[in-house]
This record gives sequence, C-alpha cells and structure tokens, in this order.
Amino acid sequence: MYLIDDERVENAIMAADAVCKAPGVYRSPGDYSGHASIDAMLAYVQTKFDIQVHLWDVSFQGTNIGSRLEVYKDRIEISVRSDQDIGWKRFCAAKELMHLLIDSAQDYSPYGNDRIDEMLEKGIIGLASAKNNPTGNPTQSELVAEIGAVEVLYPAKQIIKDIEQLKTEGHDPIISIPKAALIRQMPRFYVATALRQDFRTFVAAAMTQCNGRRENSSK
Amino acid sequence: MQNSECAKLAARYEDKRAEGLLDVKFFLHTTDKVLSEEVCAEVNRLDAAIADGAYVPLVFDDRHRND
Repeated sequence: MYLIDDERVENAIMAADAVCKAPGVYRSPGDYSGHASIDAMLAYVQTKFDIQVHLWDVSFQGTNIGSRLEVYKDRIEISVRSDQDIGWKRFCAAKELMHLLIDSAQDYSPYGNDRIDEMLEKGIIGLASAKNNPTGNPTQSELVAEIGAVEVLYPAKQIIKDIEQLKTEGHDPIISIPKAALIRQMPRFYVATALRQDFRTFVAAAMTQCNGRRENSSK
Repeated sequence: MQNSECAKLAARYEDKRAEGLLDVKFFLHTTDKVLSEEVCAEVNRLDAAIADGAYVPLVFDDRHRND
C-alpha cells in the first residue's frame, strides 16, 4: 500500500500518543471520546521544543494549498488558508505540528519552489494518492505527518472502543463517517482513512515489525 | 522564465534563507493535474497576504480543562 519506513510510522504513532496524553488535548489521558484540542497540541509542541510557534489564519485566494510550515532558527510559522472549513483547518494545523515532532534534519529543505516541484512530480498530495510509491525522505515525511495527525485526531484505540460500543448497543459495528467527523471535528476524508482496514493493517504491521526488531536486537 | 511565478517564489525563498529559514513544507490538497506555476502563484498570493497583514492568529478555543 505505502512504501514508508516502518520505524518512521512507529515514531509518528508514538509521537501522536504523547500528544494525546498531553495536558488539555483530550478530556483525560485514555479518554479520547471527544475532539482533540489543536490549541493544546500547539502548546505541547511549544513547550517541548521551547520555541515560539505562530499559527496564522491567512486570507488568500487558493485551492491547492491547505497550509504551509516554515521552520526558522528562532521561530516556527504555520499559515493555514482561511476559507477552509474548521475540520480542514484543524487537520492542516495538526499535520504541520506533527512535522515538528517527527521530522529529522534529513527531512529539511528551505527551497520552497523545489519542494513544490518535488511534491507535484511524485504525486504526494495526501494519503489517498501515494500511488507513486514515495521513497524519498521529504515525501515520506509528508505521508508520515498525515498518519500522525490522523492518529491524534482519531486514535486507533478510540476506533476500537467505538466499534465495541456499537456492538454492545446491538448495532452493526460500522462507524458513521459523518457522525464521527462531527464529533472529532476533522474532515470526513480522514475519518474514512482512519477507519479503512488497509490503513489500520498498515499501521499495525509497521508497529509489529518495529517491535519484532526491538525484541531481536535485545536478545 | 525570470518573471514566472516559480522564479518569483525562488527569489523570495532566497531572502527567507538569509533570514534563517531551515525548512519549508506545504500541505497540498490538489490532484496531480495541477502545474507547479499554479501552485507557485498560490504561494506568492499567500506571502502577499501576509505582507498586507491579511491574517489573524488561528485559535480554536478547543482546549479541555483538565490541567
């Protein structure tokens, strides 16, 4: 499905787990039944790296760009396109904040126009279009940041709980995408991604691979 | 070429690197049918909007009071 480094996926899931447990992100650590707080996620990132993170709502005409992240030596600037709905703005912010948690120096490039060329050339326009089997570091970084953002906004543990609750209530164990998107305040597209069996299998397999490697190396 | 949207963008990123820019990333929503000139033009509009002050802090007021 996706050719992404298992360790990078594991790193993103672990970073997402730490975000979920941070003060104010959810009602309480382990109770992920409501929406994640992006304000609290931003505060967590600022505290963790001791750097000012500016998150801006910018009015400009556009259809292609949801958001931009710029990392300077002394500050972080995140610009989100203003005319998107709240769910997309939240996802944009979460995805850019995830970059700060998971990227390493080898993912960095301060050449904006080259970055655009690379993304368009490789077709990296989101999880749904990873069809060209991205293997380069910056492009992997895009997909892994999205995976991390999905995990913050709708943690796998909560999906399992939601399915169990439907069963307990005697319903078909099929989560309503529009309802979940409303509760979680995230785009329907990414709720659907979170619920897709191949996505869940992919993430679980990456975690299992990494756990296996760790066990083998400790023997 | 020198006046192309991507050339303008490249020139501005040179300035940004001089300001201490280490990394830039974009979240693109579009399909792969789009041309880089269109995307560069959009980034140029984004920067123009910032230069014109057409932005406000993005605050969601969504924090849970558990701390």
